[in-house]
Amino acid sequence: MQAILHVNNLKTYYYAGNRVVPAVDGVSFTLSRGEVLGIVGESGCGKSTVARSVTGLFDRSYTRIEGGEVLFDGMDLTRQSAKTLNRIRGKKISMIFQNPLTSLNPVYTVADQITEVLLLHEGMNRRQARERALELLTMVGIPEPKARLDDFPHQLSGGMQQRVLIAIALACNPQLVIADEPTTALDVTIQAQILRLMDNIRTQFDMGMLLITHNMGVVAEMCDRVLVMYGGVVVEEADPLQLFDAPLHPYTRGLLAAIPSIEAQKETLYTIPGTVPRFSHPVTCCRFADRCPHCAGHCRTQEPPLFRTGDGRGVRCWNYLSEKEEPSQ
Amino acid sequence: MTAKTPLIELRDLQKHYRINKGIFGHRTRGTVKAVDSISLSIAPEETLGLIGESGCGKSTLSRVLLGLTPATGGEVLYDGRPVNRRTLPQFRREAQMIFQDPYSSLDPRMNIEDIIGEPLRVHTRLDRKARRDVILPLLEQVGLSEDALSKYPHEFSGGQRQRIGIARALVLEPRFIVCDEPVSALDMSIQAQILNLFAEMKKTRRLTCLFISHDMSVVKHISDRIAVMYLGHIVELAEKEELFRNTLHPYTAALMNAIPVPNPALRRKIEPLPGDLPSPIDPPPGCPFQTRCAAAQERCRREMPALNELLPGHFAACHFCKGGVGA
Amino acid sequence: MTKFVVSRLFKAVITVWFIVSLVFVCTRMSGDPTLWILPDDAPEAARIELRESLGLDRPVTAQYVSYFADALRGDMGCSYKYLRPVNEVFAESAWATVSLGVLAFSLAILLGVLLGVMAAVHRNSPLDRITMSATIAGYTVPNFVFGILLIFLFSLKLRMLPSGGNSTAAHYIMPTLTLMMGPMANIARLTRSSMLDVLRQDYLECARSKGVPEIVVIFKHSLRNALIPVVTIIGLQMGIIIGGSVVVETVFAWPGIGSLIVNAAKTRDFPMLQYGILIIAAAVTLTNTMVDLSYAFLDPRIRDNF
Repeated sequence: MQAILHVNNLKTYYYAGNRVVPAVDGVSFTLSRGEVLGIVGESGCGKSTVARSVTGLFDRSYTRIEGGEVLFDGMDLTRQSAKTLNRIRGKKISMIFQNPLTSLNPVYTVADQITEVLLLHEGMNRRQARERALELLTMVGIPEPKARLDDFPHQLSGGMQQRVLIAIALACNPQLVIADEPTTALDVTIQAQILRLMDNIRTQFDMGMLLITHNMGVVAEMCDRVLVMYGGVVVEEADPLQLFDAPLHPYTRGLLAAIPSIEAQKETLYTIPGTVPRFSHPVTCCRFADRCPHCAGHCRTQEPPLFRTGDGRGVRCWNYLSEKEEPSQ
Repeated sequence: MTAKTPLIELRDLQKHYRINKGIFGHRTRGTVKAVDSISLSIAPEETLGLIGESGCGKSTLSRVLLGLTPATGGEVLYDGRPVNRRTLPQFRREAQMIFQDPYSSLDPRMNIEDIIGEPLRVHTRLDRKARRDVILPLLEQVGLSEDALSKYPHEFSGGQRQRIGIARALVLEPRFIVCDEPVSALDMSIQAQILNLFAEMKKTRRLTCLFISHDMSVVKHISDRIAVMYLGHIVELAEKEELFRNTLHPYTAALMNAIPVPNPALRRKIEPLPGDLPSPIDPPPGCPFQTRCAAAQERCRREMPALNELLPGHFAACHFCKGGVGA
Repeated sequence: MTKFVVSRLFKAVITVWFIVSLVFVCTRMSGDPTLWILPDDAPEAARIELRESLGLDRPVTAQYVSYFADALRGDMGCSYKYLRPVNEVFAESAWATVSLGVLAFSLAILLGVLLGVMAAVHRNSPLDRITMSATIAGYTVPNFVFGILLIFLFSLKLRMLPSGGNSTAAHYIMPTLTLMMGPMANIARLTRSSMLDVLRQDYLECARSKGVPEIVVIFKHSLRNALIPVVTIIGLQMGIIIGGSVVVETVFAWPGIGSLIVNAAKTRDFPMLQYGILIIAAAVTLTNTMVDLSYAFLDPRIRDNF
């Protein structure tokens, strides 16, 4: 598989007054064509910030990329001008957002919003763009697509709106699609349809997909590889089978134990003690230390690196080092 | 089932909304049958889970049940007696609600002591000190400390606000609680905390509950029986293990299939349910599920199936599933 | 959609009719016009004869019916003072008021929106703060105070601009500024706050993710949404301009309709007064109706409610 995106040690910080919040504090990953990489975590872990940092889609008045690089198409996206980034957004890297109703402009028709991308990037004229928009609506499974072209977003159901967003994202045949919680705001049966659609499209067009979610079920369904984030860093990296079967990091274990299960009946759910602390830069301990049942002395004085196991996994925990029989490679 | 009087009983409960048009709003364009003749009963100390997607009417049902909005038909019985103008105040004391959104269900201009104390001010004659004596132990039970009393909602996280909501609901020592998606807006680990707290409160106070959610795994965790709702109707009702073991209604089956399971070894190969959630305005005659059901036949389009007891304690509203897994 | 338009127009006509009727009744109750037309020592018989000739001795309902019957045929009555058809009298002064009003109104909208957008996009910058402080002055300072200050500065001290009459283009400058000041301030403030709301919306992030340049994000994607609440107050601003024109015309000796109406009220020149009010009511109602209709054009979510 051909790698298209390399993120190396990305750091994105928020500046609020005189506080510096290290929202993303050293995240690295690679994404290949046709692969779905999931980033999972709870609120505040930094997953959405990672998604937006790839194409620089954040408010520059209080957010800055402080370090690292995002390598795509032969350049470092963190060092590009707005003009260059605008040429890539929507054309080579596109995004799908969480709430389809609020992500579509309420005063413009579906056709307007799809053709906008085509007119901007593909040099089509209005007639060609409209025809292509019709093709796209059919491709994403919207019934009566011709009638829907001139509809306004509020006239469509949630599932249809999300399909329109997907159509917009696909319009210019991007190499990479970043989907930020694309099904969280949808009903269960519609969610299943949209996930199926996204999967089909991914295989059909050999696109790379970065899927941000907080839902472990979606991770299990859709992803080829998973990154678990906590406090701005990746604490575990694995493929879903490995992750669910034998989670290595205490946070991942806690998270999986906290989910009510359909199959087994749990009397009480495991709860991770405490709450997510607020981190300030610089961080000098393991971010999970205060809440970890296995916290030892070392954990409070130095942040563990992401240890790599032999079989493609990663875990950011000192205890991993001591548990292993052999030293890490 | 036991022969005890159900604590809550709904008989043909209906809530229809009329949509008006015309220059002076005098002509009716259609009727939204948000809740369409629902009959249900909840036994004392039982938790009934209610599951359904957007537009099925579950939130409307909860509000009509508690009298927050008047029903357009049918009745609600509490402890065997109908809830009417005379019995409503008593009912209001003993039936409380926990809301979905921890960010909007607490008045941002009231401090925590006022929020939790308000039901006491309305329904009792306790003075401030006496109210405090009731509130403080309750606060501790929900996992908050005394210094929370003088603080305001914006100083708390989502999970903590939900705890405040729970305390508010329990302060009058109600017998019946309606929970309208109380954990949907919370992170997974916080959700677990709140569900545990809730289970404990339920047990120690012997509460009867109606637990509404769209999340099947949460509903299964907390309920004894589960009712599935679609377009204003109950389409299936059974004890929870039975519902999963022996799903009868095609919609319930589709719902179960649609849930992404956190187990990659079980990746589904079944086609998702096609079509959209139908509009509740002027639904077609016959079964509400006909537009999306793979097994829909002529009879389904003409005749509304009744909620019949197809297996002991297991009800389903479908013409064509007879004691086996639905088509 | 046509139903929407028709119902709005229908309601507009009803509004105008109602206002004119109200004025009709109030004037008939307010006193005797003959006190102003004839000298104070005129004999009672002369007054009675005058009232008869003006039709004021008939019952109010009969007067009302014949007023509207005549009006529908185009006869709006004759001024008691000028002894000519009222529409003629007003027509002579109309252009002065209308040209000033339209100019002030257009500039107030254009500049108000532009300032509001810039203030919102550069929130908390010096530009933003200065603009917003200036707008406070804009709508709190009464327009005649502002007008007089302008005259003091530019006519008396600097001798740059003429202070009275409307003979040249330069004459328009100060009256327009005075008249547009309040409305422009209101529009700027509301545009700013509305833009701030819109700038937080998700669909802008989605537009940016499509590679849309920032200028287009602001002026195509945001502005149209931000204008929706602003458009509703634009109708009100028209009312303020019309009301303000009476004062401004006095301050700048502007030969317009405003002074005609004020005098008609003073001298109980009923036909003049009724016609004047009719024009104002029609202007304000028409503006508000157009606002309502444009509202549906701007926000497609409104269209579906009919």
